[in-house]
Amino acid sequence: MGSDNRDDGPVGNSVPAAGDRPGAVDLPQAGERSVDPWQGRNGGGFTADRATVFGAGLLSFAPSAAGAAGYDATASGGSNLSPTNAQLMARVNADVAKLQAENPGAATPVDLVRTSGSGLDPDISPAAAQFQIRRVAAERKIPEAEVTRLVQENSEDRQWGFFGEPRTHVLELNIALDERYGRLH
Amino acid sequence: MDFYSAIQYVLFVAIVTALVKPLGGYMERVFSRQRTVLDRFCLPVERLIYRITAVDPKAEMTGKEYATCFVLFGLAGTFLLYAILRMQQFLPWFFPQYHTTPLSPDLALNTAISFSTTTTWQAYAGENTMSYFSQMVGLCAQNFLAGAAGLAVGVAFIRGLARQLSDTLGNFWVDLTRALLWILLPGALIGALLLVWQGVPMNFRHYAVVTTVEGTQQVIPEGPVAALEIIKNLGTNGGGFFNANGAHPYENPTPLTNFLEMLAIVLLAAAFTNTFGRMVGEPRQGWLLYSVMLLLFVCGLVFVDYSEQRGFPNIGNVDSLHSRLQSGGNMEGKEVRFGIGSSTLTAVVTSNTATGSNNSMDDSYTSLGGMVLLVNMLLGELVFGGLGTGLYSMVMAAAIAVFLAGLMVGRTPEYLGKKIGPAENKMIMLYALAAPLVVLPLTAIAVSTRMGLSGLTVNTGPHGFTGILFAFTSCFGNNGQSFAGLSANTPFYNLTTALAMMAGRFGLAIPALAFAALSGRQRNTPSTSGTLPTHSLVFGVLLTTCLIVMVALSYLPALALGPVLEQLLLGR
Repeated sequence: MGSDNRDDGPVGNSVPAAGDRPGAVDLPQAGERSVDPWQGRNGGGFTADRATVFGAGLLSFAPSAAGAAGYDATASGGSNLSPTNAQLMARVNADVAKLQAENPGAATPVDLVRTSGSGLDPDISPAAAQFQIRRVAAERKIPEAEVTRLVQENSEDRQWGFFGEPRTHVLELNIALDERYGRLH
Repeated sequence: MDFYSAIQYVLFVAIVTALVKPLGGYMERVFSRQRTVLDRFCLPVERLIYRITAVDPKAEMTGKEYATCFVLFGLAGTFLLYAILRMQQFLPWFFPQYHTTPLSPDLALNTAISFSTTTTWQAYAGENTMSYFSQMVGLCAQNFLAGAAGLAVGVAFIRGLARQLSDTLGNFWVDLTRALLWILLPGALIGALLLVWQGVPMNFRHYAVVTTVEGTQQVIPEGPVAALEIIKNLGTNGGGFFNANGAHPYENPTPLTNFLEMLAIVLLAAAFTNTFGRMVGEPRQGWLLYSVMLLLFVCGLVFVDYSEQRGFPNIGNVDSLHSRLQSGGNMEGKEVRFGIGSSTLTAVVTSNTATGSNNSMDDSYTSLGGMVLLVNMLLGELVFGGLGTGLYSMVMAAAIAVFLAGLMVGRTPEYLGKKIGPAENKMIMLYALAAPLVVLPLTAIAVSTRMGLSGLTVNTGPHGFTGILFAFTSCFGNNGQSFAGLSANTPFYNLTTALAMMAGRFGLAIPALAFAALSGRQRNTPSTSGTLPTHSLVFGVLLTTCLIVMVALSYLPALALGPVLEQLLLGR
């Protein structure tokens, strides 16, 4: 189930020490203030790592226009494509085709085919998470209900009940999946 | 409109309205040098500052002297910031491997003018251009100083209307110092602590290098973000620490920080209407101006929300409907945690208040949504508007409305007991004509030359035209927002936008101060039954109509070539 070298993070969640697992994210260790919602949460470029995400039993982030390969934190920004721009249409169509092939069934939620304003958005909508549950469950050969439960654990409702939108924290979710069911990548 | 977005909008308006009176009263006491709660901390510092700078707090300045001090202060700030930016590599916290974009003379000049005029137009990306030293001692400091200077000019303007048979408008150095010590610094301190609580970084660490879950490496910039973040909003500046500005998870981690940052922008500007009302002796005049601002603000919210919610391009098999699990709508350039509601709130607040610290990409907005943001700026940055500057923009518009009313009924127009005669009219004309005379020719030059058109690297056609118009309007209005698809770090755009920024800052403040000085010299005319009441619903309607008509007269052709054309082409 899990390793026994765990540090308890400041909020009481178990945070595996980065040294145990090669490739793990260096999350803040015990004693460090970890109110940082984004430090190291990001999982890497969508375009560059699509191959590793698909087939690896992980949920994917939205596309990103930060830097050439996406999710480059030293070059935050959006695509700035207007809704009437042909490039946008082409990109969206390509992404929709790919995602439909990997996750057949429902219509693709909009935030999985759009680039965010910062290019570093750490969240996807719960609809986008739900869209990927079947694929992830099939790749990991576990019941969909298990994945759904993890998604719900790593999702957050509107802040204080009405500020903002519900969102799913993809990185925490992927780390939880890897912890509980082992790495496939 | 989503139910929860509506709650957020209503709550926002309710909080702002509730705080107008207390904050307005506080600001009035600060600038009238009456007793306030912070005197114990601020008075000793104030006295020390006057001793060091040899300022006589009792000496007052005429309109001309005040304007001169304001301009010289702005120029001094520009030179200082230019020097800091050009010498960035010799100053602390410069990371050569990350700060790779050079601060060329034209970029540094543009940035210096931009920050000392509260525009904070950024033709650069913070994380790969600016060292922490430049961000703090350069940009953040200018946010405070320029914001306070704008507030000082606003107060001087009010004094001109409030006083009679007086040659003076106050002391610029006293107003500047008081704005900083009593208003901006305490507000920034409280706000910064709230932001840090929600997760905005505040450190001087080197950029972190982390290994991701997939095994790649990622470099994560850090820095003294919270300090800049709060004053960028509180002083209605708007320039972000990182390129993505308010969309970046470090500048705006949660929907609550977004709400607080928007409150920080609007509160002082809205309360200033109450300060105005109190200082001229009739609070209801302030409330009338506030009501007009509120009406235009809410209209903006409604139109932008509607347009963005139905907005994503018509592409098959994409689910962009609002549901319990997603906000839906035009999410290109928007963050999931903000959805449509919080993004709309921020877009409308920032375009109205000359702030420009948006949390979504304006270039990716729908044509109607982008048009509303553009019109907000074309109105003159007077729907709450910039700190200090928003109020005198609205009063100058009110003077025009009064003038038109006077023409209609054949009486000499007067506002708050001050007659609007030929001299005052000249100032009003200079004020009203400045914007179209700067924005439209610059846009025309940009779209007819290769230099200007080469900036359209992402979107072309009508949307590109809108982007260029947006850029010059934003710079003139000292807003700083942009359609970020416009590649503006070229000598052409750096110099033309700098010109627009200075024209917008000084070209409006000087006529406004002159108008105030002329009013201050007059004797108040007692109001009779024939005087047009400027606190009534009729005047509110007249003022709103005047504003819309003036924008239409000056800018309808330009709007027709940009957003309107884009919308029509979409329908085909």
